[in-house]
Amino acid sequence: MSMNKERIDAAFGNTPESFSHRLSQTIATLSEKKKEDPVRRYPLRVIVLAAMITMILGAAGTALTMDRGLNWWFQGRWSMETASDPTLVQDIQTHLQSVIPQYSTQSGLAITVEDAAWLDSKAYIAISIRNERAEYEMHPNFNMNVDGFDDDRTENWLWTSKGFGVPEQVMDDPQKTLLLFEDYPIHAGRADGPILRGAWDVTRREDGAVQLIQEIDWDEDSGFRESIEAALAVYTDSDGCLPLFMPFATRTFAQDIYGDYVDYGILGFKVKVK
Amino acid sequence: MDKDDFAVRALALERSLYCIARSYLAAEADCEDALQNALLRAWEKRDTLRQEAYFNTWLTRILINCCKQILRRQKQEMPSESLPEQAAPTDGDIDAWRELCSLDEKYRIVLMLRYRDGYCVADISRILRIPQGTVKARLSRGREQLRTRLIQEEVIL
Repeated sequence: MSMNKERIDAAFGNTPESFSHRLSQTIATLSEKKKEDPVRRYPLRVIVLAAMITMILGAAGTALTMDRGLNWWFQGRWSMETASDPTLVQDIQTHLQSVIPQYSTQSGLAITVEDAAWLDSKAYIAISIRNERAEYEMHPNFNMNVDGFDDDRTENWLWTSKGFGVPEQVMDDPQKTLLLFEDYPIHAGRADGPILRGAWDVTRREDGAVQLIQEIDWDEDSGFRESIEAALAVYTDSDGCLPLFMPFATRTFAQDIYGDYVDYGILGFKVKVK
Repeated sequence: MDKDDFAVRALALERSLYCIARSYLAAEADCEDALQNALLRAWEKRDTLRQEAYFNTWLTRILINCCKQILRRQKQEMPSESLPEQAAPTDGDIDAWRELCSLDEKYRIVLMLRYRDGYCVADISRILRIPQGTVKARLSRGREQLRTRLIQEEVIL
């Protein structure tokens, strides 16, 4: 079969009159009066959501002090966690380890682990990843269309500290190419070791690193705790460091189009757990 | 964009909209419903279209979403074995229709957008919201699937 316009057209026959009629009939019913305010950038649902978050925060009255410019993130998506544990955010930031031994599976990777924290007492882990190429601005892919309403929009929107909108309007430097970081579950001890399960969230810090914070599901009944404790016992080295492995991928995004993958592999690194 | 401009652009796209809707939906009435939903939605959201040059890809994407919405509803309402068969259009070329229908949906829509509507890889990527590399791979695999089917049919004949 030669795939051309004529051949495909022939498969569909003529456009039925009823279809053409419905097209013109629908157009005839369109009303100019329904035109929306052209300056409105955000759907109503986003505005309502933002208002609700503001109200919750106002009621909680939580004043958090932290560095790395993550207030906007913690006070938004982390409002429940910070309300129940006011010192959580500060604890994560103060426990960040900046010397991270790394042994990724590929050499020459431009994606590295910048810092990490293991909060054994609160069962949280934080990992920050940096892109070392100046032409890219890296953000987590998770924050693309994070509201789940992308079918209601004509463009993909990114969530950043500047707001939620088309990437070039909310990036730090729109001249750079947006690089989306996709993270996958972290394995403890070995690349095929047990997965750290639990709720997680990820964002871009003010200094440009992408930070992932995960609550470790420490449920006694799940059997998961047993496997992680076994990995901790077997693989923690004499310096008290546990090897962790995080598969990842990055891809570009420009002019509302997802580009091809740029980097992919497994980030191997050690975090002090004792 | 005013109503006249919207109408001119939508009418120019009529044939393409029909073929795309019909490639997803078996019943002509469903195609018309998807079209109407897409037009109303596009008109309501027209201020979010920042570049009018993207009107065609934008409206096509909305139509595909409306078709998928109808398909999802049908799947919820009736078990899969009761879903209507993808019957050929009454005056269509049966052989060409069978060849198109022999393709997996993900390959069929990419091939149609490329070869019937003439969209470039970047536009198809924008319409379907998939990476350009995936578009290229689906074009290649779709063509390969067609070739394989054709060879199989020739062997049988």
